[in-house]
Formats: sequence, C-alpha cells, structure tokens
Amino acid sequence: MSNAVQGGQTSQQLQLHCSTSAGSEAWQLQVQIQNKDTTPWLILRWHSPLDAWFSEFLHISQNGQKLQYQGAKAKRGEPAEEDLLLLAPGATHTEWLDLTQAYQLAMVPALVQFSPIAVMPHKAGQALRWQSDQQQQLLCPELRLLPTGGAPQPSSPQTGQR
Amino acid sequence: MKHAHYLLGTLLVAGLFSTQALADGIRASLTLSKTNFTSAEDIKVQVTLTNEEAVPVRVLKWYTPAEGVEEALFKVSVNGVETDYLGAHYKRPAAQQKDYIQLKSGQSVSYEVELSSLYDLSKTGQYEISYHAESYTLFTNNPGQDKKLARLGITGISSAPVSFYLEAKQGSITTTAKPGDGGGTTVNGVTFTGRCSNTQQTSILAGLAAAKTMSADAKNYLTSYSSPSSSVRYKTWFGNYDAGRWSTVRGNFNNIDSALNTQPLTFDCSCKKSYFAYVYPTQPYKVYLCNAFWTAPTSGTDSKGGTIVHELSHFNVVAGTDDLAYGHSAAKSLAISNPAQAVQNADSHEYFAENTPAQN
Repeated sequence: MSNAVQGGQTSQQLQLHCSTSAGSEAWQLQVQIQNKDTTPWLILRWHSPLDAWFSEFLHISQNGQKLQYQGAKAKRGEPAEEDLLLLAPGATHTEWLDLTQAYQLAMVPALVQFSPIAVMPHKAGQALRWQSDQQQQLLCPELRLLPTGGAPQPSSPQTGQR
Repeated sequence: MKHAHYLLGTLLVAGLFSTQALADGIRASLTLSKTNFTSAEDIKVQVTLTNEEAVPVRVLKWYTPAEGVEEALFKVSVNGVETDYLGAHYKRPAAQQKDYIQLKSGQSVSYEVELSSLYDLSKTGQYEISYHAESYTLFTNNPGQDKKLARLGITGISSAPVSFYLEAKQGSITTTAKPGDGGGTTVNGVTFTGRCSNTQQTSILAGLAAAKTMSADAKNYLTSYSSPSSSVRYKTWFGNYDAGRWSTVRGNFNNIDSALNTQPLTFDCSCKKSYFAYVYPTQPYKVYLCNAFWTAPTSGTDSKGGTIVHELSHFNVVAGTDDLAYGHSAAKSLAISNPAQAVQNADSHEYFAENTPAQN
C-alpha cells in the first residue's frame, strides 16, 4: 500500500481514535478522527483522508483485485503549516470521501483499507511544526461497502473473499 | 489630468483619451516598462484606471485586474491579427454591491498585469494591446442607472493602445485555446497549459534539459557500471545490491529517459499549492507544477530537473512509482530498511538521478 509514513508507534496506546463508516450514497464514506486526549494533537494531512486526492492513501479491492488509483500523486518538501491539522482535546474531525472521484468501481462489494495516518502530540501555544522523530501512526479500521450504498448488515455472510 | 505615465515609446497615441471630454467615465491607460521583449521575459503592463467624473463611480471588479485577470480585459494583436486569450472566463451569479470598487472623483488605481500567461504571445512581431472592458453591469448593478450611462455614451472602459516588439521562441509553435485548462502553447513538442508565463516556460525548459541530462546519466550508469555490487551510488538510494532490483531500476530509467526524449510532454502552471508538482499516474504525460517548483534550483537536490524525473516516474506507463518516503533522509532510511520499497519510490529515483553530492 502506498504510504509515506515510515516508522513510529502504532495507535494502540494513542488517545486518538479513528472510525470509518459508509455513507448513504454509493461509494461514499466517512472518516472521523477523535481526540480523546487532554492535550492537542497534530495530524499530517499527507497520505491521509485529509489529502483527497493528491496521494494514494487507500487500498481498495473488489473480488480480491486491487483497484487502480486514478487520483494524483504529489512531490512534497517539508510539511508546512497548511499540511497540518490541529485537533484540540475532545474535538472530532470529520472527512467525507467520494471514492468515485479516484476509482472506477464495479457494482460489487468493495473492501476499503486505509494507510496509517501520521500524527504527533502537540503542546498548546507552540508553533505548528512537524517533527518526524515524534510522529506516531493512527490506524483506521477497514470498511466494506456495498454498491447500493451503505455497509453490509452484520448478519449478512460477508466474510468470504478475504 | 496627467499623461506623464504614458510612455514616449508607445505607438499610436490616439489622441482621443485626453482631449475628448465625452462624459469621460472611467479612463484606462496602459504603461509598458519597455518596448522590446524576448520570449524569456515576462511582459508586464501597468493598468491605471482613473475616475474622470465629478462624482464617485463604482466599477465591477470582475472587469478590472483588482483580483487578478478573470476576463479577457485586453485586446491583443500581433502584426494586425488578434491573438487568443488563454485565461479563464467565469460564469458568475448576478453582481452584488460587494463586487464593485468605488473610485472618488479624480482618483486613480493601478494594477500590474503579466500578459504572457494570459494571451498567446508565441509569435514574433509587433504587438498592440489596449484595455477593453464592456459589461451591462460594469458601473452599477442598478439597471436604471445603467441605461442612463448608456445614453451618455459610457458603455465600457477602454484605453489607447500601446505597442511592443516581441522576439518569440524559435522552432515550431502551435497554440490551441481550449476552455478550462487555459489553452496551450506547444513549442518544439513541449506543451504549456494553465497560464505559464514566459519566465515560467523558460525555467521549465531549463529544468527539462537538466532532467534529460540526469536521466541519461542514470540510464548509462545502470547499463554499463562495471561493478554493480559495489556501487555506492546505487546502495545509497536503493539499498543492498540485488540483480533483480538493479534490473528494475535500470528498466525504470530506460523508460524515464525514453519518455523525456520521445513523448509529448505537457506542463501546467495553474497549481498554487505548496507542493513541487503532481501528476495523475493514469494520465501521461502531463505534469502539474506547483509553488515549490518555481523556487527550486535547475539541477541538484530537489531541483526542477529532479522533480521532472520524479513526476515522470509516477506514470504507470513509465515506472509506476509511489511516494513511500519523501526527502533525502527518509529515502536513505528506506534504502536500508526496505530495498524492495525503495525501488518503487519516486524520490529514490529522483535522488539517484540528481546524484548530489556525487557518488560512484
């Protein structure tokens, strides 16, 4: 999977929480990042759902086949302030994605997996500056989508096809 | 009324603008800093709008350069033939109060406008430009007032023409004005879209030449280096030697070099993001250049030439690379930790090609 996030810890100890859910329209989904910590966090937009569609941050498969990403790929230098999102304690950031803007989907269920999101603890009042030696990884749960919109019911036998 | 800012070198001073007091309205005047340009230069014209009424007049911003040029505000001709406007036309909602600027009686405002990004200036010759804005709602969004102005003969804002000579680029040049992408100018097989100014076109061509030099060097190195397993240059960017991976990288550079030299490349200058550049990997061979590109050196680390190599490597028909690690430090780490990913990484290819500081 395409992913510019190298190293760092995984999200198990993080006080950030990522949730994913299907939208009511076909091939639309919602990603929510919630800061459950008592201190602010910085989120690097690159290669995350906050970067649609200037990097390949999803792995989408249908019938076990990876779909070709048709969005853009960008060369970047050091992260600037505009590349960061400050998430205050208790705050939630919501991002909507329309997969049809970057993928050609067939009318069969799709499995959507997310690249880890680079995050970094932030001290209130400090300049918004990315320090890669402090970055950690936030994982977002994978999601199954139906061509009719929404996600499969929990009872439906959607466990085949790896 | 002051004429001092009219350049003496301008041709065709029509004599209309000062003496004729045809209820005046807003007068436009154009000033060029010089009258001879080469295609390597930007062509900047100063637009001054002066309210010659005894009362304040409001002017619709869309038909002034107040927020950049968003309509075909100029008439431009070369050797007597009108040239194409390459910029945007906007469909807008009805004009509101906030869309007007007010000029007091006698007040002037000046704007500097760069013309080579807005009009097709690809031909050599004598150019003549004049300001020419007309709109039903130019001075007011009140229809009654508009009719009154029309009866007085005030329908628009025009200037006397000014003239300059331009020595255009050598070679085969074609222009296609297409809606949406700002039209395009093709010089010797390289197409520019999205309002590339003359200086931008010149620095793109310099970057492209550097890209060709470094990709040819990379290709030759990977084809003929006598002792691949001891190549420090390869190991720095792609990790421990492996015959299969070496061959992958060599194939990638063969394709990059071939694309640079044989494919029709398009460079687009409309991006205003902080990136160096971006491409759609499924849409060869169009490269969108962004802010960091313009301040990058022509060659060397993170240069214009290297950026072009990086972007070409993304195209699926070229090398289909990803962005797995950005920057020298992360790319070097990736080479050590995961050579299989390094040979898929666009910046690793760029840095191998740039080869700064030089390694054997």
